Amino acid sequence: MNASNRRTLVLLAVLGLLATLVFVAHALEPTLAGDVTAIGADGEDLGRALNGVTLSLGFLLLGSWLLGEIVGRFGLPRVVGYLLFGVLAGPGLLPTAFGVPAPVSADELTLLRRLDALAISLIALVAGGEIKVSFLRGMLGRIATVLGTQVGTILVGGSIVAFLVILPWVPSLAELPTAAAIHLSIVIGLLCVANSPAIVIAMIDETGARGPMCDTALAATVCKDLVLVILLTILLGFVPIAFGTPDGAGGGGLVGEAAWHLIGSIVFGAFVGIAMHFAAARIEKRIDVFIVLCGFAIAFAADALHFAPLLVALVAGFTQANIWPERSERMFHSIETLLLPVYCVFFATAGAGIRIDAVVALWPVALMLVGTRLVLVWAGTTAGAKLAKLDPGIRPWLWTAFTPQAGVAIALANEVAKAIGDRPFIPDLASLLLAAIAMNEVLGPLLMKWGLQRAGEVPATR
Amino acid sequence: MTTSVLLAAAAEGASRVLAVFLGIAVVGAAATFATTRLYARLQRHRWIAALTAGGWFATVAGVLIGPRVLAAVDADALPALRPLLGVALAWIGLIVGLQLRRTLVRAIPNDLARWLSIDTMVGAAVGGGVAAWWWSKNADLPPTVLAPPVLAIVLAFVGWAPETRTLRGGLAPHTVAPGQFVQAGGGLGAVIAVAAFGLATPILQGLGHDEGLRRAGIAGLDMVLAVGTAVLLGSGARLLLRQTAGRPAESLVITLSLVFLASGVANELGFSPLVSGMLAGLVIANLRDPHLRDLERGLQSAEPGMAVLMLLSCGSLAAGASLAEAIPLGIAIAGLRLVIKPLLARRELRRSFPDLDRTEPLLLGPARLPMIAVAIAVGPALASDDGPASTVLAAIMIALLLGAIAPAIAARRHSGSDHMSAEAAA
Repeated sequence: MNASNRRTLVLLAVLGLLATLVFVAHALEPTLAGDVTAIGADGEDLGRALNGVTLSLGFLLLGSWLLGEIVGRFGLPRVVGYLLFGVLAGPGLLPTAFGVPAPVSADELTLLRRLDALAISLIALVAGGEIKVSFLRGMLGRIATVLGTQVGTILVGGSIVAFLVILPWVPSLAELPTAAAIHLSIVIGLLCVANSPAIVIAMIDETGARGPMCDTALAATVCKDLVLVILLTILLGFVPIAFGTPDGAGGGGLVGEAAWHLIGSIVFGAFVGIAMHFAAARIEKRIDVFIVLCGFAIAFAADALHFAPLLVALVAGFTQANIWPERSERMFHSIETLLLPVYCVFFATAGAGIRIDAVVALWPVALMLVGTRLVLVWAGTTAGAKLAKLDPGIRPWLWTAFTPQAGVAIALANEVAKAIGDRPFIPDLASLLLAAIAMNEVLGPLLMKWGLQRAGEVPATR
Repeated sequence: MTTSVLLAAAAEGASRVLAVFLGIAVVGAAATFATTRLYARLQRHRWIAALTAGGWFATVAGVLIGPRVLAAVDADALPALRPLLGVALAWIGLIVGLQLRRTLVRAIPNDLARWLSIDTMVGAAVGGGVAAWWWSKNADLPPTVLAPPVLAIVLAFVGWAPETRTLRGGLAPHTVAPGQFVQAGGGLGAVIAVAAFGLATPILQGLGHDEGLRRAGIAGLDMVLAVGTAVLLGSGARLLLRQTAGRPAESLVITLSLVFLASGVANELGFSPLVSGMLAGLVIANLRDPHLRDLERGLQSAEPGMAVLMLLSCGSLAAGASLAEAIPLGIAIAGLRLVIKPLLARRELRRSFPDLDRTEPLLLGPARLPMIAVAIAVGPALASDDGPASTVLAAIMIALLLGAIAPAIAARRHSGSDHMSAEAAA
């Protein structure tokens, strides 16, 4: 047996031991832990979740890293390993498929998802640091062309397919009045536009890829987030008209909210970036602790002030990297060491949140939505790249970077469900969207890694 | 949500948001300041160093953000501290356990072992007396509520703070060896306290229960599982660290996983994360693998951070305490330690170092409460919403803070008298 195989076996053995330890601890918990203190209004459930959340965190962190290492040995992206481990450990798979209690319960997952904003803040800080003004100055027009073509193609194509094929397939959605069906089709089309900045950053980081495809994909993904938030906010403003809701949000209110969300996030992000820089310049040691504190502060402030943590951190990173490029180097280097555990936990919790029952129930129609989206992403991006006269070497592969979906798409899907309100078709709609996002979540990183390799941006040593 | 609704919601929660912002600002400013050059310069001042080592600044920050002042951490947020503090306790336990390397344990001088044994016995006896007094004042409460805080009171008399730098004015050469003695004693005292806590807790948990035999069986099984988990975690960490060959990001994943799992398994099995961490640390320290030295260094480098995190959280956790009860109890603990510990130290330390001056401030070092006493008292306060546990935690924190000042005063006096005698001689 060669060294590589032996290493894979060791990793598998540790993974097995870890799973055994967690299952034994869970099995013995009711006997040994005694009474869990009832806390607050949620009582015992919250008490048990708080009791078990640390074990779940350790399990997800180590387990996802181990599985990431194992799948990495087979040439697959490690992110896929992190996501798959989350699926295996989460409350969706084991109870549904085998009737076995999940190692990470739904309540524990809810608590763990509170760390998402921290993870997003750290990931976005690095992403912001990667975007250079010099690059944007030369590329802004081209990025706008790519995005314009891509968003237009996906939005129009996705909406038509959703209206003609997807909605009639699902019984509860097939009965919708025409206005509501058109609105919902456009919403589905818009959700097809979304992709995952976190996965893009993670994949670039993992593969060590450098080059025009990485830069363009990263900048375009970030800009697309802004466009998406604006478009979705406008679209949700039509919910009262499409669904005949009497008390909907007015247009002026929506504009105000979008402006607060976007401009507020950008201004606050710039402020955070400047403050972080001046504080970091005075810190001699343990800058990693300072960065984690900043991540918490961004996550909390964004939540309290209704800003987007992704955008705030992105602008903070961008401000530092572009105003003080050399002096901020030390900080970005420290964040990179912190990123591996952040990726493991973030993607594992994302995987654990995948609703397997939704995937099982609606897989044919979800698969059709995924297939349609892939074709539209390919067509829109490739046409846009050609129009923008991007480097011919990256034109055929750029689309792969826009295939992964994760947190942003899920957040938007939840926002849509919330805005439409409590209607009989909402569970089916949510399940369909989440099932499609889940498939893109796993398939996207594979395609992106392949694209980066074909574009020649992955170093030979990786 | 429209802008008006948003603004209304914002106005409603404005004070809450402001409070949390202020809380973050306090912690962030303190954390940032603690890493600056100015702070490093200030630490050369004995008083500031003594107050920092005694946890004054972190505790004050904790009280500031707690429910009584800014309420950045209010009563609703307190349950969320449980997992965080569990992790901090497991981390501290790991650091305590890492001291138990076979070679180091074998090298403990007989004089130190003797001093520690006497100190532990006398301390436990005095602590037992104080605990009995406190129990009699709360006799109307059930034993299951009183037992864990009582154990914390007794163990607050075991061991001492290992820090000696602030006591050795001018770092005189003749105080180097006794200083190391005091440091080693402080470290071993923490081990004794955590081990006693681990052994006594399951027994106390059985108090007042009808199913005494079943509880005893569970306690035994708990212990076996905790040891088994420690062996598994230690061996697993060694195996993985060998594979990653010290790469920092991977080492961080393994270190964090080890701490989370030690704390998590302890929570699941109703065991103390402090004890679980100590057992895992003991295993790691004795596996004799060069790769594990990196892990040890990583864990130990976070020690001040974990202590600060614990004190910050304790400032909030102790908010439910009855101050009328906590202050006299805290003063009693600090006062009795100030009387007994230096007496024992003078007697025992001067056996090994006869030249040591009777007024040497180092002899006052053992009067200071170790941070592990707070870590032990946190457990009961975390596990229950009962007032007595919070009161004892507050009392122990008061004793910790008072303990940090008294030796500093003595050290200042000593350096003053040194200065005067030098002037007289001149």
